[in-house]
Amino acid sequence: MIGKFLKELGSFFEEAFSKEETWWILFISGAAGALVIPLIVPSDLGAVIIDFLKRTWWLWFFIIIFRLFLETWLHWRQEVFKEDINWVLLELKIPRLIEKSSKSMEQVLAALHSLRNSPGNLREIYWDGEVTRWTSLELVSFGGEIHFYVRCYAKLRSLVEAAFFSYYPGLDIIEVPDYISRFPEKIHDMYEKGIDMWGTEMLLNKDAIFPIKTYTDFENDVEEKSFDPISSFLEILGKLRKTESIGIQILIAPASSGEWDEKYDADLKKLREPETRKVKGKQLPTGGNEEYEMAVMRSPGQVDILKAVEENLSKPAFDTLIRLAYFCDKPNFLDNMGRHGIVGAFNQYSALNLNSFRINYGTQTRTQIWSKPYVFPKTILKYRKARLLLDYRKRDVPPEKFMGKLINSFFFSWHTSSERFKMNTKGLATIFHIPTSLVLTEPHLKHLESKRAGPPSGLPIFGEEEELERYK
Amino acid sequence: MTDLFDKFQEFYPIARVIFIVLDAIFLVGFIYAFRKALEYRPDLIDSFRKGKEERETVQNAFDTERYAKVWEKILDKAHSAPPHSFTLAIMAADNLVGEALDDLGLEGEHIADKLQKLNPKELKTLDSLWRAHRIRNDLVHTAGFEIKESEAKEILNIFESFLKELGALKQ
Repeated sequence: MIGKFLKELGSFFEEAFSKEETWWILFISGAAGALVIPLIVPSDLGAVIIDFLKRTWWLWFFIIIFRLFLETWLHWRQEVFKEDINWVLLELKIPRLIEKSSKSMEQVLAALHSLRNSPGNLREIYWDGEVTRWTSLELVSFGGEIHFYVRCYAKLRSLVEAAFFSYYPGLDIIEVPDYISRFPEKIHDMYEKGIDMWGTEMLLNKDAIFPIKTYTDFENDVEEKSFDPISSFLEILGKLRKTESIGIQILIAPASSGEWDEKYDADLKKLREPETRKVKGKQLPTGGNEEYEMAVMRSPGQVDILKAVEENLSKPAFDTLIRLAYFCDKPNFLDNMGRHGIVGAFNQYSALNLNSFRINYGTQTRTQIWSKPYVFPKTILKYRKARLLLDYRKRDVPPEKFMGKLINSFFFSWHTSSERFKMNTKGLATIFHIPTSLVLTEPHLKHLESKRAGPPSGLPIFGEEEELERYK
Repeated sequence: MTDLFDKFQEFYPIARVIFIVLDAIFLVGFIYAFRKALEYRPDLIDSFRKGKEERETVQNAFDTERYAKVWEKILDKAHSAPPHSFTLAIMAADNLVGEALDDLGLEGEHIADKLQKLNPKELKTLDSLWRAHRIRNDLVHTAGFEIKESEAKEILNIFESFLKELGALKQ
């Protein structure tokens, strides 16, 4: 009983302290308390409290400083770890005709999920600062020329390639120099070249337990009734002017089972429990009626939701961060392109009874005096642009620790809005996949002109490892 | 009760000292980690400033020692198990040329793209290199294409003289 109560209490605190607002309330009430208490409390009691603190300050100080130290240390080590990861950028070259549904991409993602790394012991947690390495799936358009990229940990390259080749045999994957050099490096350079930008991160409207509309909702046995949602992205990206460019990056880090299906088990159970209604029964001899509870039949809609949620939890999930950036020269600049065009394309996936995407307003590079935090909109805008640009260039994920967020904050740009959400393989495969044969890709994509075939049989196949490395 | 209190009083100064020492250690640790973590803070303010113009220093692009080593290895292997070893050696030599062109900073997907950016008037061996490169392509892509030993040796010589002219191998 007590154990259960304590557990409840623990989870409450955990939840409460992970929120930014709690810290503000604590800070303000603490400051107010320190000022007000000596005034209203009789001096004896004040003296007693001060005496008590004098005798035991070292204990309280220890508790606070230990936690601060641990968080800061962990953040530092994790940043070092992140900085040391070697990345490789691969471009997916798409053949003219690929007759694969998004299901193939789901399998690719499932294979990527199994490459998950996580710190196993104290040394790996606190000294190496290991974090789960993430992969970036990118859809980029330079003035209407669309590219599909995957950026992954260099050592995993062959495994990532294997995952793609096994489900998309016609695909070609080549290593390319990072295209990011075609994007401005700093806000200053950007303005000097007369370019402006818009960008944001995306979030889910509801809890991640609810899935978005997935490819099975778009597909149908009859071809006329099938759609591929990626076509609206390709249409928008393909219509860009020469001076415009758009980048969409989807950063995915495999999440463990403990963070996904096990964590949401309790929520699922709650959803499964049918609603009940009190019903009056027979009249009792003592007066009044017998009362019992009767389960209310689920409506078809509720059954659908339950089905969708159960299916959602049955597939492995990724910690996901979607980041958009739109660049354009100033005379033609129209942030509607990104704000309504691309975000609108994300709206295809919304199912109002389930889940949908929305702009993460705290990271959007659009500020107004009547939206939070109501002061200095222009300065905040400048900082947000700088942060988004830097994060986009680095494909950075937000730090896990509160202290990390605090350290990465500036007075005009608190690093607390950037958030990741969980999305399963099916949802991600719906957003990012190789366009199916339903999509008109000819005008927008550079295709592979021929099918790949094996080498001739007479070729000598002996050689050393380093020589073979080149032909992979 | 008093007994317990006595014990507590005995214990109190020790605990106090231990905790104060721990406090000091963790305070120092915290400050150290904080300063270190600040180095990894995204530099937003720098983003508003003009960047320093970095002057490009022109150096000899080639690590001649490495090229010499690799080239020696290729020649050694060429004679190890003819005639297949010659095919391999030609492919390896072609790759080495590709790397040398990369080191020169020539961009392009294939060696042919990079070669096209070179000026034939400045490089005497470029024409013969094209021939060698074509033979290499035939070896790789055409089934049943065979090469005589003497021919293979000549092609390796062409690669060598090209690398020498570029400056990747010492004269």
